[in-house]
Amino acid sequence: MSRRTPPAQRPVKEAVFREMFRTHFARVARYVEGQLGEAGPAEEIAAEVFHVAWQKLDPEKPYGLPWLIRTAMHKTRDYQRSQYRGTAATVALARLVQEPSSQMSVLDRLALVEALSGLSEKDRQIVMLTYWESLSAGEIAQVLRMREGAVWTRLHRARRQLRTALSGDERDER
Amino acid sequence: MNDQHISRLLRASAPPRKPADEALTMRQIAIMERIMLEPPRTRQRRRLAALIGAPLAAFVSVLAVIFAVVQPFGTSAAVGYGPAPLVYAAIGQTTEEVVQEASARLAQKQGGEAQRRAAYTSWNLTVNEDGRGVRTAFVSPSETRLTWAEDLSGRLLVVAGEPYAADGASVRTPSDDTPEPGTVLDDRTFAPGEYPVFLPDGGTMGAPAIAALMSEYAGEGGRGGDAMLAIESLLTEWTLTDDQHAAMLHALLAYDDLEVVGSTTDRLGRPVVGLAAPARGDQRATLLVSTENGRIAGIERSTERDDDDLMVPAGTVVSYTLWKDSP
Repeated sequence: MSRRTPPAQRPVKEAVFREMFRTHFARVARYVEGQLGEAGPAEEIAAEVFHVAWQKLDPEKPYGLPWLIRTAMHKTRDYQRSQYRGTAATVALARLVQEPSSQMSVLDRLALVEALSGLSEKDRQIVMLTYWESLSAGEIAQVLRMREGAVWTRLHRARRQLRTALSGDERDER
Repeated sequence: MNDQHISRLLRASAPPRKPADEALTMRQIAIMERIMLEPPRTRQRRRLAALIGAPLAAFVSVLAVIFAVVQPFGTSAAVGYGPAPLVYAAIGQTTEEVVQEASARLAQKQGGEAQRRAAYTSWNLTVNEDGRGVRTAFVSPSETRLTWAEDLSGRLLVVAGEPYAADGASVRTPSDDTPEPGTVLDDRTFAPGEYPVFLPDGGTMGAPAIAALMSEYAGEGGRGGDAMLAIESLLTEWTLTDDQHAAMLHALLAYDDLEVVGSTTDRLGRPVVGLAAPARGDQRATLLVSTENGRIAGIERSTERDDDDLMVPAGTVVSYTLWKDSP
């Protein structure tokens, strides 16, 4: 029985880690930024995620984006707890109101925020991972530890709920 | 309003952010290198459990804990965890004098271009899954050869180096599981676009860019040992020119914590002078500068004080990298 690390392990691990970092770091930092509603700590939290990945990395089975996003989700929650903030989704919605996208009118934005607020926490996460992070249903299933079918079901239900809420707004405006 | 409208609205609502596929910033590269400074953990305990069964593994773990409580750091950094620290002879020179002397040697042969290749001998402390340093009787370094091209094709070849006894004894025979020198441990070929280059412009960096990169790596702490990490990043991807080596050495002079530790012979038998400075994680980095040609020959890292996480004593060598090339 050997207790020695194979000499090849380090350079190979480094090469694999560099590739993983280059491919996913910006995406993970972007996810954290979206959850926190601020860019400042996003890279540091993403760095914590990749620190964990480095420690646990198996070069033969490097982590994919779902694992990294899931870990980022936990790290972001830890940070928010330490900062006495609201949930990630609530903060992200608040940011949506404060920092308008150039593609949406103020009224549309406010209506959407209100509609998203009416979703359950899990459904809202699925919607945000789908439309803000462009994850597939399979990837979201890995992030949230759900069956892929359940992701589709919840997404369908969330869209229906949003449609109802937003159609209601349209009717009110008339 | 149908599902398509909802989908369009939701996509349009995504907060404006930097595209994820942009090249990494210097800061992000520095973050990555800092992460990789820490020895990755091995999965030995899991293997142990699989081999001899969980009950026995648990018993061994209990013994290990008892040992750790009774003697947490062992008796000798040199014997227990890796190679003995290098022994330096005082040379009575300032950092400026060492850098000037190296620069003069580097200036003797001008010309040459930076090359996309690196060749080095390296070793790192083994850390188990609990994050603790693992004792070893033999140091088994690896020899890495990296070549890559502008189109990001390349090859990374790692072969076993010459093992040696951690306590410096020359008569010991390595155990059977130590790979024979020259054994190919890994051989990876990168098709065009596949090599994950981190400093694509490293070969054309002038003195200001090199100083800026080192400053980025040093971060707010401003430690010379962290700035040396930028040098390590550059040289494990590039073979830089003599001018660039001089620029790296001059940039180090900006760090007040840099000191000359003396002259010695590195682990490849080459005469060098050591410039040391504190680094993150209570570590000390020592840059080895060739007294033959002035080029940066290597870098070693050791613990500055007893490390309660790694459970290794102060002065333990945790890694070294020795470059073996010139442009």
